[in-house]
Amino acid sequence: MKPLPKSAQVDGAVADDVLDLRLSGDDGHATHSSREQRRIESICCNLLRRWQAIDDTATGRHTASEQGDEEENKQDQQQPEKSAAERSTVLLVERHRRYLLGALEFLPGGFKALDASRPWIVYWVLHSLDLMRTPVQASLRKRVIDFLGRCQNLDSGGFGGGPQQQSHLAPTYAAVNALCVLGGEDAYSVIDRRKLYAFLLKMKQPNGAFSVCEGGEADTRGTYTALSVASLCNIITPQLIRGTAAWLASCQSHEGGIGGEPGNEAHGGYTFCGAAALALIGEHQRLDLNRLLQWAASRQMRLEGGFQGRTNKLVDGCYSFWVGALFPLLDLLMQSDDNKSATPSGWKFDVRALQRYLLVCCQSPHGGLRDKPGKHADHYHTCYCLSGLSIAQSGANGANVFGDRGANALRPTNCLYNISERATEAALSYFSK
Amino acid sequence: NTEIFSMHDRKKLPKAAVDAALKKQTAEKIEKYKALTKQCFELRKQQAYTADSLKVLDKLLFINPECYTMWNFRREILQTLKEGKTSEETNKLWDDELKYNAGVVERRDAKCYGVWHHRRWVINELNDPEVEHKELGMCDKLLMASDCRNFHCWGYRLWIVERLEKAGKRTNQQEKDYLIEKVAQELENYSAWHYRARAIQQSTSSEGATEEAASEIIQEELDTALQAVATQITNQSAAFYSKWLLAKAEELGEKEAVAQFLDNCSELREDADAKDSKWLLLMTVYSATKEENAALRDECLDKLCEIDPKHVGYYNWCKAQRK
Repeated sequence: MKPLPKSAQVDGAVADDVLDLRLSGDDGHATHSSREQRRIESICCNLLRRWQAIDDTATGRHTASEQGDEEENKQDQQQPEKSAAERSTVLLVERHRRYLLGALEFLPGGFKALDASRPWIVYWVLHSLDLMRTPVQASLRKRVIDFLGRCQNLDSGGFGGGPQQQSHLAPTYAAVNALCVLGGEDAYSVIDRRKLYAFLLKMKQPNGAFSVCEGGEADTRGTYTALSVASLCNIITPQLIRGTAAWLASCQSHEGGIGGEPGNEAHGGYTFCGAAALALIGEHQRLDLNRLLQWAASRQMRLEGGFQGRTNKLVDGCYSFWVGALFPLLDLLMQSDDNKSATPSGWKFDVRALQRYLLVCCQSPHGGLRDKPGKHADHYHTCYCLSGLSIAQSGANGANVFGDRGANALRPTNCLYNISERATEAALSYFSK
Repeated sequence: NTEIFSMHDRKKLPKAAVDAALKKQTAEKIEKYKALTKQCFELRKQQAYTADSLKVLDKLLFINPECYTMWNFRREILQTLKEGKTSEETNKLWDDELKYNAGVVERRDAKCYGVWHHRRWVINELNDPEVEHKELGMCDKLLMASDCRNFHCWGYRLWIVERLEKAGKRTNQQEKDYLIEKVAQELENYSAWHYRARAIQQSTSSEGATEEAASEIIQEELDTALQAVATQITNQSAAFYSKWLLAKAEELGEKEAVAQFLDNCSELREDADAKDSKWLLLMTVYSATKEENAALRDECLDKLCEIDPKHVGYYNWCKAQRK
């Protein structure tokens, strides 16, 4: 194999990570999978090469006096010099804001499949805006609170995918999260906690898992969404979670990740759900945390920098959160157990490579973020790409922000609930009363 | 207005006219969908559990299979319709239902939770191993035609296999044979490797086999994994599968088989092009379990740090684990 290219040098400043743009080989045995992988790598390679070329045409050093407030300039001076390419990497905040707010006004006919997931759209939009520090106008706030209230079923408890729809744990999770993002008495008080508890209890199965709705499937995602809302709203009881921890642990596969049901293949989304759910009820020691960590670390793609969701699948921006959040989560869990396996830095994935993938490859020039280049942006991917970006930036006192710090730094998101840390604190405090 | 689409008009259509036509078409579709939804919710409210209601649902659920509330309504209807029917009539009812459901999966959305869950419900109601057996064919058809990694399909298939195995209608060997076929078709099909691990686990467990038999199975499987590696050293699936398999072999005390695997990897690495292949290096690390191989293991981990810097944290942690 050819040796890796040396990192770009700009006026003595050294890019502190190496861009590896070698395409994957197939050892002369091309398959559908290997061709697809190479195709995606080529596309990302072109984007990353163009990005890297900015350094070649750069002149002069960044002068602190050009922009920003005193505090930020000080921080920039304390950080190693960023290359021209990196400094030019900005999150297109305004475009994403417009794209997100637009979703709450009108969605074209192609979105009918989301008709049973309308609280999700609200959550994806509000959470994304919150991460980008965008205040919500009073009129929008009122509309959201009113709409989510109408999605709640006061007879059964819980929220449905739209008014008149049966309660379902996924829109329930989204609605509760969205209301917590908004925060404030008028938002929190929408949730009928007593009825919600009754709904959760009804969804509970004898095997310990939770069904997503009456007559619906019971899997890791149903179980996580149930525990997440129960935890935020402070309605977890021993009765509610009897048998749940054991069932969740039985979903850990031989690979170390977690599947949707016992015996299923390990998958990024379900792995997050399973690990977070166990963490929420303090039963994480039932998992083989080392193998979980190894599985998660193995999901970061060499060239692209983003994460895949399963072995031998393609990169996808949404796993930036589903897999990315496992690292601070595991850090939390392993440290709390005085486990010597946690390394001093605490991070076992390349946080800069992930941010670079998201910022260089996943932003749509029309607003919104996407799975991968070549795909259209959508609100789900916007939410989870931004959440992953926030995760990658956090830790090390914010010194991990890739690119223009002023433009790119997001609010920290909580790795268990995926709402901002400040929204989490406020909600937990309110419901603890 | 058909004049807009007249074939005789060779002038280029002004964009505004096309946009307006499309917008009108879309608006009509939306109105139709909304009306259909309203109708279905109304029927449910009236508890109209009839064959006619089923026909209306057919349309709605094909347009939006994510409408989980309506799959519940569908089940309510079917439960009513099956009452007082002869076994022939009920068989037809379920058969038609499975056909409809398959249509939604194959032509509308193969990755919708509601659709697959409904299928399980129907199979449960039927409780017929012969039908369950045919389901294996349905799954394979879908995996081959659209996406060999569809986890909804694989999860459903597992559910079917478990039922058949419990009823004594499917053997472990049949399962292994099917899965190796899938792997041979696409070496990167980790879903197939994953379920193969389950089959191997079953057949080497204390209830599954004698120590001798388990030993033979593991050795054969290590050979299979190695063959996959030799065919395509860039295959991450073979590497991750081998990781589990080698740990399993160690667990069963098959130290010589593991050592043999290591020798084979070293042999493959003698090829200059393969020497620093990430997956071969990893498999060397996984199989270098004996104390005498500690230096080789560290050497490979160092090399991995060099060629795969994104995972330096993980490799250093691996090194530390040993000490």
